[in-house]
Amino acid sequence: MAPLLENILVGLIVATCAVFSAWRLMSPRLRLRTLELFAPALGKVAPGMLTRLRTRTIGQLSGGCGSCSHNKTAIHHRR
Amino acid sequence: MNASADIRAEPRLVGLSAVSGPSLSLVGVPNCGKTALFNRLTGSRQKVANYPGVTVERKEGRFAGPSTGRVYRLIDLPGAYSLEPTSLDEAVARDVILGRHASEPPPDLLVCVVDATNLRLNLRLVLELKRIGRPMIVALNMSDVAKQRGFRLDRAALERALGVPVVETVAVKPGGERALVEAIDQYRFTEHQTHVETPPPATAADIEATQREVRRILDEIGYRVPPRVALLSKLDSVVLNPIAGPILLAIVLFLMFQAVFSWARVPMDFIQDQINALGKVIGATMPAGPLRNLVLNGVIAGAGSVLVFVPQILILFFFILSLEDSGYLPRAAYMLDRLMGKVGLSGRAFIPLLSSFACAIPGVLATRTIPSSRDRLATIMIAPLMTCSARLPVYALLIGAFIPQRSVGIFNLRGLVLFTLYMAGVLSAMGVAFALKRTVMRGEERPLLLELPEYRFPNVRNLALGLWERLRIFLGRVGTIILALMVVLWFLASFPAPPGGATGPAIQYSIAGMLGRGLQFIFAPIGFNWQISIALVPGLAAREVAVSALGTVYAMSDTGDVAGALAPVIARSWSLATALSLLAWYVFAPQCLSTLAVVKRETNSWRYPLIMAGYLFVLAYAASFITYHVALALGAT
Repeated sequence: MAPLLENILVGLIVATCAVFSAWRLMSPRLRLRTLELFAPALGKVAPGMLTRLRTRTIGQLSGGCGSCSHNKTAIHHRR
Repeated sequence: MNASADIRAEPRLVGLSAVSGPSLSLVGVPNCGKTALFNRLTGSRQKVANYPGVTVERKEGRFAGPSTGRVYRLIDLPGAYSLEPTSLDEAVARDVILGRHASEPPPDLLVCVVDATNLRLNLRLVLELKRIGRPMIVALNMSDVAKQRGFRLDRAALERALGVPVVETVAVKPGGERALVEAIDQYRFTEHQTHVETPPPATAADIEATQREVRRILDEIGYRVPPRVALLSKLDSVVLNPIAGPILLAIVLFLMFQAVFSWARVPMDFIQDQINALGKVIGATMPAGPLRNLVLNGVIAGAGSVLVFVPQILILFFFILSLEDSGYLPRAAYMLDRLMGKVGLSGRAFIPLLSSFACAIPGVLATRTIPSSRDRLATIMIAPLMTCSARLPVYALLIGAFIPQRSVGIFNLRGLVLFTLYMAGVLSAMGVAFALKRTVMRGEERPLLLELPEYRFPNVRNLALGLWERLRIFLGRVGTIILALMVVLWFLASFPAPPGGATGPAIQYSIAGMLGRGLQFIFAPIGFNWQISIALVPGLAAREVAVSALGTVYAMSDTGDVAGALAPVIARSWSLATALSLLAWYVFAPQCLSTLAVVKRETNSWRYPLIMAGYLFVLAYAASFITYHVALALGAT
């Protein structure tokens, strides 16, 4: 791998990890504010991701640890 | 048509939205198996245990009916003995049932879960619920255990006596929910009600009348406590004995901490060997450059160094979950009530404090079961002093590096040190509670009223689920926040590059090196070097991150970049006094950010999380200072 390409890749990994760490360490309320701040830009680039993040954050805001669990629909079959 | 079919046939069938589906609420007294049934119905993996007060907030899941294909929204509510709440969690249950909860309309159907082995206690709530006139199905849970123990259960007779559908369930067994699912799916839902009449407060005469009604129903269906059960409860004469009880508790705890070190050695060595081998393979195959450096020093030396503690965490939780499920823990709470009372805490604080051994966050949430707000606040403030599982990797690393592997009598010395550290946390919590309850959080002493569950063998499925959850949470943290933080730390420890002619390791000239040296002014009096000072900062995100951070910092301080075991490196670099000081620091370790955020949410103020962080920092610093200087004076260099 060319040294320049390697440096860019490492830079991208570090930047992604920095953003992710900052996101994870924020309180849900701060996350919502951050999402609102970046909504105009993020809404154009990845509207689906924006909706997912907002829904998840609102869920975390209203519940505790318990509400972030596996919210799937279980199927019960006839015997 | 038989009687049960008559009861199930409701007068009107109205169209309910197929998307949202009818909403159901699981209600019942604490520890009747609501959460186990919720997990069984929705495929969730919420925590279950054999003691009351595990569910403190509403939890939601969905399942589809086999006959109609309708999707049901199921809400698991905290346990409540009656519709007149004495604590926050009971108030949540009452509010949802009566449609008084701000964001929750009244459920379309109540599924009242009753413990078939303790109908006398459970039927009172059933009668109260029946009185408010909501559609209801009764799930006669643990019906298998009741039959095994010799209780005579007549489902049809109970259904006739109550006048609502009754089905038998076994929440802990696959298929044990089928009858309930079918009953729900066949239920004819009436029009959704947005308002439920609030019942007037019960008078003493009302309570008496309800008790009489319970007795009448039990007589009518021929329900009796079998002699074998009465005999089993005699075990409590030993377990709860004022002399034998505490001795038994001490033995159990001792064995637990011994096992954490004795049983974990082989799997830990295996994981460490695999991590070392992976490091060697990557070192040999990847070309030298920043990417290889990042993988070896950031990912493998950092995030990989905490993976080695997986076996110890699982062994610790194996014991905790087994004790929970067996019914022993509430008895331990009962025994410790006197001690808790002496420091001014409510006996109800035991369960939240016990939960804090896994993580302070569920512990803080569990304080909702404490009726007095001052007691609740005092319990929240001391919950972080219980040794959470994130501290175990730090303890295990330092004990493994500095405490020799030898026996003291019949005990393993390392296990003894670990036991002492856990006890130090408990005693400190008691000390802080004593100070708080005698000064700013004074309040009246309340007696402990705790339902002692039946003894039972731990359920293998619950145990396996609990261990899997702990493993999933731990690996999830390693793979997400710990890994990300270690990559950021690697960057901070690598840049800027050292100036020309520099002789020391590159990290010394980096941002992290400068930060570490800046912090060293604060931490040098307690014996911490600049590497430890750096590790404490990301350790605020989660305590075990400190171990990863030490792994990265030491890997980058070394001349080579092959990831190896961290313990021998710190054993060479630190004095025993420094290691003991760091252990003392972590007994009190200023709280992780997530816990502070939850405390803010639960107390609705920044005041208490700030006070908590402040007092924990002062305690940690003072304890480390004393430990370091006493150790130095005793020649621990």
